[in-house]
Amino acid sequence: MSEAVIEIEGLRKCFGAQAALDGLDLRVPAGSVFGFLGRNGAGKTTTIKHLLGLIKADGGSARIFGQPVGDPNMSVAIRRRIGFVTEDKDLYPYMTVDGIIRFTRPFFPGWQRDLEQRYLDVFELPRGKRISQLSKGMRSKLMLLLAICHGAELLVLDEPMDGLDPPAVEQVLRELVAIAAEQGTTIFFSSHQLPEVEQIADHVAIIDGGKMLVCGELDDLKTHYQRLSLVCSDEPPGDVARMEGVVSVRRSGRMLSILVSRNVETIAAQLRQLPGVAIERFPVTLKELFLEHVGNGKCSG
Amino acid sequence: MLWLKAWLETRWKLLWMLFMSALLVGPPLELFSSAQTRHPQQLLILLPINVMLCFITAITLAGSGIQTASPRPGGLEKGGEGSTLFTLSLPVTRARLFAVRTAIGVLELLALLISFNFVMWLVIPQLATNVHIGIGYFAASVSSSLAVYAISACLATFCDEGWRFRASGLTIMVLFMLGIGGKLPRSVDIFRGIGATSSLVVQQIPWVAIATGCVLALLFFGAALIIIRRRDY
Repeated sequence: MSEAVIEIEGLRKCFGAQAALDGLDLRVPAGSVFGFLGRNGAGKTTTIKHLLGLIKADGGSARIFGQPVGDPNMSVAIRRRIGFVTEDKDLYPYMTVDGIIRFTRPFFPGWQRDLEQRYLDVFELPRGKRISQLSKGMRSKLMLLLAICHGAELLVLDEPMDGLDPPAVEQVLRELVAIAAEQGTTIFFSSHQLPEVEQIADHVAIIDGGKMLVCGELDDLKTHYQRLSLVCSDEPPGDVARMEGVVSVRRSGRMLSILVSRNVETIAAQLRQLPGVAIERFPVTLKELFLEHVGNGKCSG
Repeated sequence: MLWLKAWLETRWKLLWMLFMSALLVGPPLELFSSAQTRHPQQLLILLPINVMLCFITAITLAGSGIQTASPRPGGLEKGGEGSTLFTLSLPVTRARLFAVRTAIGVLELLALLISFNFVMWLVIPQLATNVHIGIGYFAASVSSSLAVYAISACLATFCDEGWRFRASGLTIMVLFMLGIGGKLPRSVDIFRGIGATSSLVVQQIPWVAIATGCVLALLFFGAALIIIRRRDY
């Protein structure tokens, strides 16, 4: 198992009576491109804010680069190794693009001027323009530039594709993959854009209600999770949902759509034993996996 | 760079207060220049203006920047934090953010006090001949304004902007009333040296009150720093 850049154990945070994080466990391997998924209010931004030292948790622990996040003596050193893109993409509106770069540069001794020039060109950022005059998409790109150019070992990106048009999304995705591949940077990003996550992430985690639902390598998840489509000549069997490894069952007339998380061979073999049954196996997309786990694809059966 | 950021974020407030000073001080100065004789009692027109300007400036400057350095519990949980998240994600402690913002605020407050006192020295000949009284008045203005600034900065660590203004105003009023009502010993009344009983009028420098103002400022700055350090992690 590769070294973990982020390790979270049993993290808890309540806002009033509402639990934003409810014993969250998470492990982000070094060098991975990690997609952190969940509905609005699932606890993604709260987790990110805790990792950055912005809000304290009520319980549990989190470590970045092996150092405890709650240690005030380590906090500054940890933040020097992290590039952060905030959810709202808010920077100082009275500064220009050039001004915010000059402001940020001295905080990071490892600032890379060649990267700065490269991303100014690639993202077509106008140096002299005020931040208040930039669109959200342009501010996303500017924040990415600020996060990347200081040679961060870990990029924490909260909805980095938010506000970007499709060509810009493609461009940003390409650059993120390049950074991960060329510099070995770990990228931990939250997003609602599931196709984009699927395009670049090698690991994903899906959380809901502040709890981890699914976590692992995307390829492994796709191997283990499969959809079985069952067409029956008579009434479909009613006890499929109880079989070990079945996540959900949806019924439509004489057809059953079964999402399986493990034991797919065994389950398929058992179902083939039933009389008058035809079975087909389909790979599962990340979107299907997400919808099944966060509630929209509730099972019936 | 934090110094530059603090200056960029507060310069308009300072310029606005300087402009307000010019507006408020202008008419009395015109009155002075047309008067046959200049009497220390004329100061009674100028002094309340100075007190008001100092305190409004102190409260205004001890504002949002300090709240950026130290968002109160719950302040970063709902979204819409503006650029605060970016600032706090920089590799600097909140205590340093607070220290820089406070230092810039103090310097700007001093700039306003120096300009006001300079104008007074120009138009009131008695001050030029009695320098130590003039310096005593300046010291009293600085100490009481610093105390108000520190109180407001400390309130900024746990109040939102609206409540900070109200609580700062209320605190000043309570201290003022305690002084007027004789509930506080006259020697420690931090407002004694800048109002109608200032050294310019009574020709005595209230050193104890000046020291009290400075101690009060240090106490509240210290309290604010302790609160902020507890949030630093």
